[in-house]
Amino acid sequence: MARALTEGEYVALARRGDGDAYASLVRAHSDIAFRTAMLITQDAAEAEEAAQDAFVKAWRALGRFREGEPFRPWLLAIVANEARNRRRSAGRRAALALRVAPGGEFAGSAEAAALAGAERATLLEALGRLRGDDRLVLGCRFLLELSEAETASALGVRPGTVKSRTSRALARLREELA
Amino acid sequence: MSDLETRLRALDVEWPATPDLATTVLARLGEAPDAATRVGGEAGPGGAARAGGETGPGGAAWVGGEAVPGAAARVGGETAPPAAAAAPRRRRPRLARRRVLVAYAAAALLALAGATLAASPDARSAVLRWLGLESVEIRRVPLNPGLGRDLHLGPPAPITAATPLPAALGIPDAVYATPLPDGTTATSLLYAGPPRVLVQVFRARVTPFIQKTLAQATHAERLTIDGAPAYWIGGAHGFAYETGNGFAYEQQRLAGRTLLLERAGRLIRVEGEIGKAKAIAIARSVQ
Repeated sequence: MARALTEGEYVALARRGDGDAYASLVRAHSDIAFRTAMLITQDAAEAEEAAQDAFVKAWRALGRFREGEPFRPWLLAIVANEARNRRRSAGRRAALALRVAPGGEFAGSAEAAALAGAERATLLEALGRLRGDDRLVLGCRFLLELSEAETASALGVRPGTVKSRTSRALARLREELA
Repeated sequence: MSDLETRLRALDVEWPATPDLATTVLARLGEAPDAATRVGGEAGPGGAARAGGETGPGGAAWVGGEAVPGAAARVGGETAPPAAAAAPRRRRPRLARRRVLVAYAAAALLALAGATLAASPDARSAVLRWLGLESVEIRRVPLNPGLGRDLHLGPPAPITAATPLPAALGIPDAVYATPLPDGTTATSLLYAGPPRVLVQVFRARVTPFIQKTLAQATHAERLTIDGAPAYWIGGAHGFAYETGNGFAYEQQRLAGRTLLLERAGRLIRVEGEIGKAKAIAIARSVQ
């Protein structure tokens, strides 16, 4: 009987040229890669191409990946780099049009769900009014749930910088909401 | 964690649908890597029946010659393992390039579909797997008796009166105290099988974060078991959960079929090559 491979095992197989194993990694990380690219490019088509290019580049660079290290931060650094290159070439874009998803089955009564939905929409709008850097660090940390280390990897800065940028961005978000 | 941070984390953003990157990326990497580059040639029938072997020169020529001129050469350069130098890639205008990729992916699909007609059931399932149309199941790595260690389940733990045993499975083959990123511990019960089953019990709640992170799973179905929220997940995934100490994300691991049941402050997780009904019976029987 097959067992679930660990991610490290998939990476090791992919490093030896196993396309199946790499396909599994691509599938497992497609969402986070695409969404990270979305946060940066703010455009679904650009994000798709950035994520796609990043996965192709990551395959070629697997030889340089340090075995035993977590794969996701390494991948996200490549994704974010591709996405930044595209954003630079594309110039200024409209703010990311993210919508709040309809409440799930745990939302309670219809009224409570509507209130919660309005509150969340307000929060998201305030987030959208922040400047790019602030929105990006909060997006990575709270919308994508990236760790500080992963955010640092994606933004190409030190973890300490992520911490200080996050608290500054949170302060500015509080002002927006006030 | 401040209230604002909690509210941000609980934001359930409706992201645009993630495109099928695996198919387009694989199309760009070329056909399935040559069997010769695989691990010790132990791929077996699955490996032998891969796209490269099956489609043959005919498929490649059709793709390269008619559907997307020039693509075959570029793709050929990229089939090499990562360490090898790739052939220089011609840059196309972005939109055109995307169309080419789509065309190439479609062509590869057709070529593969054609190839499967003449292929054995084994080959057919390998091709389907390759295309991601079937849950990926890689059998090349031999079953390791030290499964717990491979899955980073933590140190072995004794069975005590407090161990949450599922009556449906009885005494496990191994018990581990699995350390979690937030500093707490989950109980992990391993049943060697067959079928091999992993049962984990966390002191945690999985909502609302699961609704966000479940998007990583290929097939996720919301269930209600005895009035409690539950999810049945058919493919690879990772998930986030919340404990008394805050929020954590599961160690990145490509989990297989999984049932998650949140009941009385505990998150029960049943993972294994078992069906939904069996998984539900196991989860319900956890004491």
